[in-house]
Amino acid sequence: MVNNNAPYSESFKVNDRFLMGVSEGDHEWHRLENAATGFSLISSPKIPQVFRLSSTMKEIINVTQLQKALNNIIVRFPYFRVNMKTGFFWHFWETNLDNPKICADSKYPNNFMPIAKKGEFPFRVKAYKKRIAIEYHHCLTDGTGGLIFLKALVAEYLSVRGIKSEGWGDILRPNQTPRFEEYEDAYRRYSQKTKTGRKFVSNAFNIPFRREKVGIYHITKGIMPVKKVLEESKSYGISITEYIVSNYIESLQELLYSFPSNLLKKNLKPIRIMVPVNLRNLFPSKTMRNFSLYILPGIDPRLGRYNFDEIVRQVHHFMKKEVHPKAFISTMYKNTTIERNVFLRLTPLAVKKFFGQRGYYYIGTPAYTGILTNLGRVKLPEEVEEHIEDVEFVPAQVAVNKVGAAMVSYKDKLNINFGRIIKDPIVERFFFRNLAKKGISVKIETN
Amino acid sequence: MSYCINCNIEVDSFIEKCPLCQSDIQKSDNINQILEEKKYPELTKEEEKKVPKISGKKKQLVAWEAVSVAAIVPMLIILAINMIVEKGFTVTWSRYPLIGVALAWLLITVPLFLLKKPTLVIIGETLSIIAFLVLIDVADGSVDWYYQIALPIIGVIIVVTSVVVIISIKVKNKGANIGAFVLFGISLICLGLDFVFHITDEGIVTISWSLYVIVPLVILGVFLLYLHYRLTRIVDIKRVLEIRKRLQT
Repeated sequence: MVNNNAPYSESFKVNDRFLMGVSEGDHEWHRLENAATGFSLISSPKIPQVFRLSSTMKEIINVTQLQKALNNIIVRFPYFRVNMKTGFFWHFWETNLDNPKICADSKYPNNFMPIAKKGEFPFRVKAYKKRIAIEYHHCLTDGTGGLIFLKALVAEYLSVRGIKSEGWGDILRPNQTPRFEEYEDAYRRYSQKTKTGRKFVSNAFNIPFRREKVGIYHITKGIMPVKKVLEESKSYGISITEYIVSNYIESLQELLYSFPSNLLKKNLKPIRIMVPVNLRNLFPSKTMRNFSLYILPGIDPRLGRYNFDEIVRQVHHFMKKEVHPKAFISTMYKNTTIERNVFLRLTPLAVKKFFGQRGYYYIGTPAYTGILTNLGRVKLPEEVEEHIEDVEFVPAQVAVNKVGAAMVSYKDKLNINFGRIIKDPIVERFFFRNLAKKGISVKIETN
Repeated sequence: MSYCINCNIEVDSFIEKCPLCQSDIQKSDNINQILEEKKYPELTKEEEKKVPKISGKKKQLVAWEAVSVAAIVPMLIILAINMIVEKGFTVTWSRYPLIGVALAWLLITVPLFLLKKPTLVIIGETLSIIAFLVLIDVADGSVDWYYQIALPIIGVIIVVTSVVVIISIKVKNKGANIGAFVLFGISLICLGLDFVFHITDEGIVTISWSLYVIVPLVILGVFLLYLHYRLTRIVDIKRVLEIRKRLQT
């Protein structure tokens, strides 16, 4: 953990007034942080940048009570009570004093959210049978911020239903005052000028199948006993994330070698997995906005076929080396180039968006084959936990890589959700069959 | 709980086919369980409508609109400057750049709408260029050079280029032969231009400078055809042109 006493940035001061409280008709604004800026430039119906967290309760959801709970809790999260506005050079957030409305769930989750539309919230709360789901636009927050809000909403819903708890633990409650550090642009706060150049990462193997019609998003959820997965990963001396990433890479390698020779020759490129890292674990930030970066563990099949042990070693040592505050400080500084460069700043937003959306397909994203994001173990106070059956994390749609995965563990279950925009569950098939071969029992659910 | 023996995975009892491999799974008898266990709602008609559809036609129209605006703005500026300079509503020198911008607009518009019909694109682009040259010639008040020079030159270039393109597409075995066709095409265009200039200046059909271009290009073209159709059948061209020594045989 880095003990950084860096001063709050200029942009952070803007939020000072924002924090003081907003009254009717008083529209405060604040800037998007670095990651949100990137997401706002590439967001489109084809690249919605929406992820989802949900909680399945033990009883059918009462929508009226859920709406009441949402109205109560949203006051505690003023930085979520916003609407995106379009400036001449950048997007920015403006307060939105309406109350977000509960809506019905849909077959295909995580679809486009027109957040720049007047009055539109950058998240939507959906109810279906026993499930409360929140879909967040990535401009608003990351998985960690999203989970804090979901926990707060679920706790408030239980409270509205008359369930009393002696202690709510780390769950945020409506009667608390929002803390100053929850608003901070942590990228700006912790990035420091470094002289290291940008590392060039070659294009990786990208799944070559044609995407489905825009709007169709297939979800495949694998449920497995967390104890067994932990045992397996311990037998290799690695973490659960490293174990699942290794299994993912092994599956992609098998998929690659299942291609006919001409397609194999064309696609014989490195296999890399994008693994987001929650920077709150490395820097003492309490921000509720985006604060994560990623690393790219992988193998290079051009050097030959890897067995599982070799993949495990590659992933383990790479992750040990790369997950380091110093490396991330440097990356944060490089990523903020777009916000410092005078020419880029003076470029009109429409031009930035035009090139941003096209650049997404050619720069950065083709450097990895798939995504695996791990939210870790969800812990709740006992009184809350006994009313919650399950917690799920659905990844955002990925236009270039076509398949992404997100995992979260709750109680004794590990849930891995794959989201894909292609018809055939080819990656999921290899992935879950591989886990089953290793003796892990898997139950599959789909939409 | 049902099970897929291919994938070794469990599925809900109402599932009929394995979500991973599509093989059959024994059907559950309990119909009520279906409603209870489905994890996502069915696709509603309203949701189907919400799925954003950006049709190709709409994209074409948006692109065409952007191109049109990008053409109209400089045209208006040129027109305004001309009127300010002339101190009145008269159009003098600006007609030349205006015709030029109009041609650029036409050249982009035609392939935008006829992208999948290459023959129509060639015809459209040719007509645009012909119209452009007519307008430029007419812009000074009289038709001087259009019929004698511009029209025959365009005719030669378009006919020869179209023939080369069609042959190159139709030919089965593509390689050095395409290069030969291009060289023959250039020779024919030079020959045509030579004829046009002589007829315009002297009124006679004769060959002069084009001979210096045609002879080397035709020889080179024939060599490429030989390389393509004859030599590749006798020996492996890669072996003939191999520079490095092979490490393994």
